[in-house]
Order: sequence, then structure tokens, then C-alpha cells
Amino acid sequence: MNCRELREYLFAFLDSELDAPLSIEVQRHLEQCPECAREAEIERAIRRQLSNVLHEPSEGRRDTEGPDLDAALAEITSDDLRSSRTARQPRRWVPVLATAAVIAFAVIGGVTWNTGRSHHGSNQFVDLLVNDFEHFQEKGRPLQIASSDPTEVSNWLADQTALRVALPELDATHGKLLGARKCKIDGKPAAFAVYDVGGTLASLVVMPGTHPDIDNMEHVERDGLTHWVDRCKGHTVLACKCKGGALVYAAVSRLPEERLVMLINNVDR
Amino acid sequence: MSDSAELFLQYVRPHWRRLHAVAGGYLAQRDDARDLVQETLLRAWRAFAPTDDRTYARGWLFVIMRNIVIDWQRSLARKVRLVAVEFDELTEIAAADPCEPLASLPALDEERFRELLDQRLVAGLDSLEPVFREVLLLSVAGDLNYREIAEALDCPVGTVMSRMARARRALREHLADFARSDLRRKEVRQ
Repeated sequence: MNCRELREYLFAFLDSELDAPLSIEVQRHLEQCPECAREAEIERAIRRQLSNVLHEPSEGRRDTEGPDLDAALAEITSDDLRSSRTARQPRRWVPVLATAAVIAFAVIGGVTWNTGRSHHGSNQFVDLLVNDFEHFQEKGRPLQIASSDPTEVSNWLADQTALRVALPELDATHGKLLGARKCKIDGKPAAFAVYDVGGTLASLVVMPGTHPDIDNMEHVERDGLTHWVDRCKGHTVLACKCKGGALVYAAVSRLPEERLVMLINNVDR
Repeated sequence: MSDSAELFLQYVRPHWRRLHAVAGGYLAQRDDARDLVQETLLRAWRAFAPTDDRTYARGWLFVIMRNIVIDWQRSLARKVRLVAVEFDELTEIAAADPCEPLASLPALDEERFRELLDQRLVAGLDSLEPVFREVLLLSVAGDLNYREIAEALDCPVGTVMSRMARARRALREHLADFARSDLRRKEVRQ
């Protein structure tokens, strides 16, 4: 190998990207040629300093030390309804992700919806509820309280969220409460409870106030009670407003709509 | 913590600091860089589904991060300092002769050479075209090899090799130019 050929391979050599025979040739040349050895040493020094500069957690733009990994992961896997963050807190989470999710849900949902009702792909409230419920099922996120006693779980949620939650008690033949976790929607404390209804899971989210997208769901009067209904990705979302509009209860499941009505009609309105 | 979260943690932990270093290269604001890491983590977690026959490559997180940067560029969501150009938008300019001599630095003792790097390396890095700066960022801060960078950029390995060489040559030229003009300034003063 001569000096000219060496220059072709020098950077790849320093990046440990050459195969063994070529690497040996380069090494041999560097041992015999002081000029090229000097060039290689300069490049190594530049690389070392570049590494310092790019890893340096000091002032300005390079001060990118983040939270510790465990805390960041706990935040993602435990604390919040993830979709609500992406949709509503653009400083910390990316709005474009929510948009992508909406588009994805619209596309997927368009294939799987099989009733007259349709989800128009722009209801963030429905998307975040369905998304989080799916995520709960797929990832097996732990419940923070595991109990089938609605009073015990409601009290725990009241302590954790300051919401006066009253989780419905189902007839044992219809299903049972599995437990709950706290969450956030639009930055506000909310509750996420899970029921087993005849072997099919259903989530029941309780949030304070209301959400603007609820009024974009289908409005249904049934047995003198008002519900808001939508479907997304094969799930039914059923919401009701309670306590004079102070709370919203929203159930999500693959259960038929009438089974979800049974769950939500047991809510103390 | 669920098994899935535990596996995810094990996968991410070795890359955690490097993710922050690369994010700091892409984004001008510290908070935005942190958001980029967080968003990368979130998207990765959503897609993470380990199985016996599915492993995640080292560069996977950086592919996700780069896609987010491209999204943010399009939406103007954040002030991106290093534009990530999609490969199919690029027209690769014919590379200079890779065998050409490197820009020669004036003879400097070790101390002055270190000073030169301290003073000018950041400026040199910033002066590079984004496509060249990005391969250096992914290589040096991300510690990715050429194949992993090629996956992140969705381009051939040969393209990475060519860009890397051009980036390093350009950086060297910047340093050499500054060192020569600095010497001239000092000579005039004397």
C-alpha cells in the first residue's frame, strides 16, 4: 500500500470499518511511513475532541442531560394516558404524533368498523381512550390498586386524584372490577379502572369536567339517559356526563354496545 | 414493572446517554432535545414487542429519533439545527478524489494544536453541510457503525463511507484554514 492508497482508507480504518486484511495493510503502512502516521495521529486527535464536544453536557445546546432513564420510563409506562400527553402537551410531547395516530387509527378503523356508526378520524378523545386501553392490554401495564371492591378502589382513587369517583358494582354474573390506576387527561388527574365483563376487558375512565370532543360523538338517548357513542379500531367507546357535568365516565371495550351500556348505566349519576 | 417494561429498560439503558448526545446535535434548544429523547422513547415503547425471534438492533432508536426530527422539520414544530435530509431527496454530488492529500496543517506543537481544536472544532462542525454533519453526529455521538448509520439514513453503506470521508476532510480544511490565518495574524502583529 502506498500513501495515496492509504488516504482512501484512512478514515474507514480509524472508524474500525475495514475488513481484517485491508486493516492490516493500513496498519503496516502507518508503521513504516512517518508522514501518514502523523496524519493518522492528527485525525485521531480530532476524533477524540469531537467526541468530547458532542458528548459534553455543558452550556448551551450541548446541555442535554435528561432525566434518568428509570424515571423517564416510569413516566411513559405508568403515570399518564400517553395519548393525551401527545395530543395536549406539545411542549413535552409531540403534536405530530397525535396527528399520525389519528390518521393511523382512521385508516385501520376504516377497515374494521362494521356498524353504521363511524369514527371520523379526528376525535382525539376517542383516540386516546382506545389507544390507552389497547396499550394496557398489549403491554400489561400494572394496575396500581388491584381489588374487586368498588368502594375500596373508589376511595383509593379519590385519595390519589381528588375526584369523587364512584365505580359501579356489577352483578357477579355480569362481571367484576379488577382494579385501577390514576392517570391524566389534558394534564388533569383522572382515573382508569378495568373490568372483566364475561371474560372481555373493559376500561372505565373517569375525568373531571368534560372534553370538547365528546360532543362530536354520536348522541344517543336511551331509557331516559343520555350517552355519547363512537367506535374506533373495533372498540366501542361509550361516555356519559355525571354530577351535573362535573365528571365524565367513558367506557371502552370490544364488548357489544349494550353490554357497555349495562356497565355505564350502573354509574351513580 | 411489567416484563415488557423491564425488557424495554434493558434495551434502552446502554443507549440512553448517546440518545441525549445525538438529540443535542439535532436540536438547538436544550428542552427540545430532551423532548426529542422522550418522544423517541415513547414511540419506541409503543412499538416495542419483543419475542424470541425478534431482537432490536442498536440503531433502531436512532432511526426513530431521526424520523421524529424529519416530522418536526416538516411541521416546524421545533427549531431544528441539524436538518435531516431524506435520502431520496438528495442528489449525491460526485465525491472528490478520496486519494487526494488532506489539507495540511501548519507545524504546531501539541499545546497549540489542542488550542486549535478547542477554539475551532465546534465552528468547523457547524460549518459542515447537514448531510456531512449528520454522519459525524451519528458516528461519534451515537457510536453507530457505518451499516447502522446507513440504516438510520436509509441509504447505502457506500454513501455513508463517502460522506464520512468528505465530512472529515471538510473539517480538516476548516481547521487548516483557521490555523494558517491565525499564524499570519500573529506574524503581522510581530
